[in-house]
Amino acid sequence: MVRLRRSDPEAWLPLKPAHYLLLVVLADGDCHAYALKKEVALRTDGRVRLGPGTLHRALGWLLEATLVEESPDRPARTLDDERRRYYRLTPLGRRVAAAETERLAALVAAARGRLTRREPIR
Amino acid sequence: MSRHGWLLRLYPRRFRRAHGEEVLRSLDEELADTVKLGGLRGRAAALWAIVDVLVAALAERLRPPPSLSPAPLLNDLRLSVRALRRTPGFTLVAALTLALPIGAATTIFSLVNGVLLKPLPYRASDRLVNIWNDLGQGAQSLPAVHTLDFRDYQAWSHRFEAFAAASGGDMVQATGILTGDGAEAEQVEVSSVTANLFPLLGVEPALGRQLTAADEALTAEPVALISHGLWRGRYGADPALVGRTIAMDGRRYQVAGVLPASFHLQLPAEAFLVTDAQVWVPLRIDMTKIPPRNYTPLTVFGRLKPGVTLAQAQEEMDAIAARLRAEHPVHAASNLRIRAVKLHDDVVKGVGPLLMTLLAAVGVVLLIGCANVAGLLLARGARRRRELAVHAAMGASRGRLALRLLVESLLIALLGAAAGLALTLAVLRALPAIVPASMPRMGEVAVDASVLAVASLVTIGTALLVGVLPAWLAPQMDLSAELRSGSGGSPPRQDRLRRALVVGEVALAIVLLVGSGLLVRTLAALQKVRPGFDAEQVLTFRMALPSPRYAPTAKRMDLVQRLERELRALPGVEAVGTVTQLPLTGAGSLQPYAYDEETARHWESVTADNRRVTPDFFRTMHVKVVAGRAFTDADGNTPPVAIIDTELARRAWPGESAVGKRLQIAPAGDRIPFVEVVGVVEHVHLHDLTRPVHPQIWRPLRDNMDTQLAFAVRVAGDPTRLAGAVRDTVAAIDGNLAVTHLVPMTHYVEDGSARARLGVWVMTAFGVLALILAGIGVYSVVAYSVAQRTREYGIRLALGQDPRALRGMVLTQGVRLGLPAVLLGVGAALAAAQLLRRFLYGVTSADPLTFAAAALLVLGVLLLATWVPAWRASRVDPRSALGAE
Repeated sequence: MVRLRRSDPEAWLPLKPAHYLLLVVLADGDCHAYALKKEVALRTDGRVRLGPGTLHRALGWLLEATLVEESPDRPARTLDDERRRYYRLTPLGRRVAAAETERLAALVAAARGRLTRREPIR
Repeated sequence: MSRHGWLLRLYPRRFRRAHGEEVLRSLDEELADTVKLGGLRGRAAALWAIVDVLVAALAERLRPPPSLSPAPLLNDLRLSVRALRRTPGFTLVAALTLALPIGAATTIFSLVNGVLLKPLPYRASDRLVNIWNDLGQGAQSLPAVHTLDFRDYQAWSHRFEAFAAASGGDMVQATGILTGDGAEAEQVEVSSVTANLFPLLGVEPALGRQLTAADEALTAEPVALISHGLWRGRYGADPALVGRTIAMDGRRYQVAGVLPASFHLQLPAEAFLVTDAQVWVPLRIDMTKIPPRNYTPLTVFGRLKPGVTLAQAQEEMDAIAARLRAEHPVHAASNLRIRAVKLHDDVVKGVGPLLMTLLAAVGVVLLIGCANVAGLLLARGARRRRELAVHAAMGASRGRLALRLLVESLLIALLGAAAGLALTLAVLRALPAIVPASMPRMGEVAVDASVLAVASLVTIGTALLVGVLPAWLAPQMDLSAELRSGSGGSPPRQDRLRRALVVGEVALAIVLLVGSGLLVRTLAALQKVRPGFDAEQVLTFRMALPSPRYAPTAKRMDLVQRLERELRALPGVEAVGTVTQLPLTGAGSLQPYAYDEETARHWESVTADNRRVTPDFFRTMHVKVVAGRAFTDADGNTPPVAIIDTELARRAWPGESAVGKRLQIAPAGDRIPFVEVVGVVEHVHLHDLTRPVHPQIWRPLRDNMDTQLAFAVRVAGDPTRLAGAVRDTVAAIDGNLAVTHLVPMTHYVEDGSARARLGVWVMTAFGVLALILAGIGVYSVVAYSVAQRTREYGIRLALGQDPRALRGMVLTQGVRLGLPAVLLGVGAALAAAQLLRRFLYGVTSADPLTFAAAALLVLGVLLLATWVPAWRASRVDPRSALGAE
């Protein structure tokens, strides 16, 4: 068995959809939990709704896997709520998100070719 | 702090510390949003958010830490297998305890699946309906339709794609006799069907072609489709048979095709004249010989157009019925109603409740099995606490330990499921011998993908039920304290849980025992019912008289009289009688009647079973003549006479003697509108052992000959002994006559209670299984506590306590477990027995005797299960007990 190293993005694939979506949203910038949830719902036209439990389990996993970390940077004090925690991508997290995007894109491309040719899927 | 803080306690401590505050904040924000939504949607969203938090808590507890390889899980598996192999006795007992309930559950579910859940094996079968005609106020309700009414449905309806019809072979009889082809004469079931029936069902012939509209013409050459079974049996699966002709009832039919082996015509039990036949001929309607509109020889099937609901179809049939009532006085008089019934529901309606009850019962058995194994695992967990503590000390997280325990219970459940599935396969193979022939769709019962899916779900569910308690408790142990202390005693909390499990088990066992007890009492009551005749020592057989040769009534009567005479001459024969249809052999023809102006004006508002008999029939069957006389050889249609049953006499002439009264049996103007009642006989149960269904009119067979006849022969001694002589006698008279259904009358009586008997067998098996499991449960709890207190008992004995008193102490412990369980069980059984009400006969659902017996039986088993450990406690050797540690 080939053992993959933690620092190898391929080792983390495939990602669960919730993990992937969170990484994608964080790729645009640091974010707190409530905003993350809203953004995920917005980007999926409301199809993915992360409940409080699911959201923080996913964040917990991403933190533990060092794909995400807590951000020390805070927005302007007037916009900020002291108690909120902000999250940001780690460099590994960014590479993992990119790798997963590649993987999904390849899958979609393969499926497209197949389905538009109207061949039975064996 | 949020008022939902308690939810966090469900999360593992590690997660709670790291993310608890954030979870709560998000939950509060989410709930604030739902308030803005308001109304039902808001409330649903709030509920969803809370459920999400709960589910995530469970998932987090079961989750292994993030890891790159599946090795840790494999490791769990390896450790679990090793742990189970170290204690083969425990593993075997636990797996077997689950095997029986899982096997039983899978078996019952395959029945439910094959009969109730699977669609009928026809194309888009959910759009198929069966048409019922109801007359009077419940005087007649049959899936039977007049030929012209059928045509009117076809012409007037818009919500059906098509209607198709089936009837007996020549609309009067449903049998034919095949001759020639170098084989013996063979009686076969014949149905005549409209050419569109098979296309309507979506059934293609395996060989040859469908029937066509051209085949329905009166002048067309006779053709037939034959069943796969007949093709294989009589014609040796000869593919060249298609296109050739076969001889039936002296006519030649060209074989148009062979139906597929899997084809069965699924019919409700009430279907009249129509059978799942071996020979299918096109329905030919002679418009010059159409009987009045109240004669209903057709069973009609309809296919709804896509998107049409049953209610819409019913609406349309209501309108058609209204139009038919308006156009035809006979329909107006009988107040015709038309019902469209889903074919599937119609076919299985008789067994659905029984199967659902058995499914509920098997669920209870499964629960008991789970409680039992959960108890075993808890006890084992208590013994393994040190082992687990060592694992924890070496760095295994608590979630990990819980996961391992779950993996173990899953392995046990899998072992149990494998054995259970083997059990299911064995039972299903033996199914034809177990279930009554009248159970519909038994051929479709099999272990298929959905059965396997449910079996897997049951297994996983079982594993969770069984394993969740030990897994939940494991992380709560104070592990370091565990390592320091030496003994393997279990904390009081676990003991209480085990006791609660056993109490639940015993209570559920009582529920099942009460259920089976009530069914046993029902069966006993059914066997005591006098069905209006005496079935013992009576041999019966049936015969169809082939039409051309026996067309004239006189020829048929000659045959019957000669056959009765010759059978009577056989040694041991006491009496011989002939009837058009034997009791308990299915729906038969109905006879409208009237006894006053009111019933005459609404002709067919009341109907009776209509049977014709030879004079000796009542004597042969031991049917009691209550008033007047039985028929004599002189009775026929001149003058027309009839014998009625006590039901009809009570209804028509309450408080008077019916003998000598005139009963109307046909509308005014008919050839014979009235008959004279010459006698009254007791009610003969023709359809149902438990209740009278229709009143009855018996008429002399002479002058009213039928082509379908049944014979009853009363014999001194064993009736089956005479079977050979009966066949020989018939063959000697006419070699072309085929004797069928040569069975003792008791066969039909037993068949009538077969469903009750099946229920009894299954429920009793469940009850006994539950009792054994509950006994084992009690035994293991008491034995465990005795084992733990060996030291205490040793001291007590050393201090001079009487061993008998000690035994009493332990027995009391068992009784203290048992009494609340029995009370709880009796209460639950009182409620559960309500569900059984419709299956009970001659016993109430709160039958004190059954309840007392079940409670006593359970208490007896409890005492027995407690006695063994009690005896062991009193025999403790003080020296070894004290030296044990």
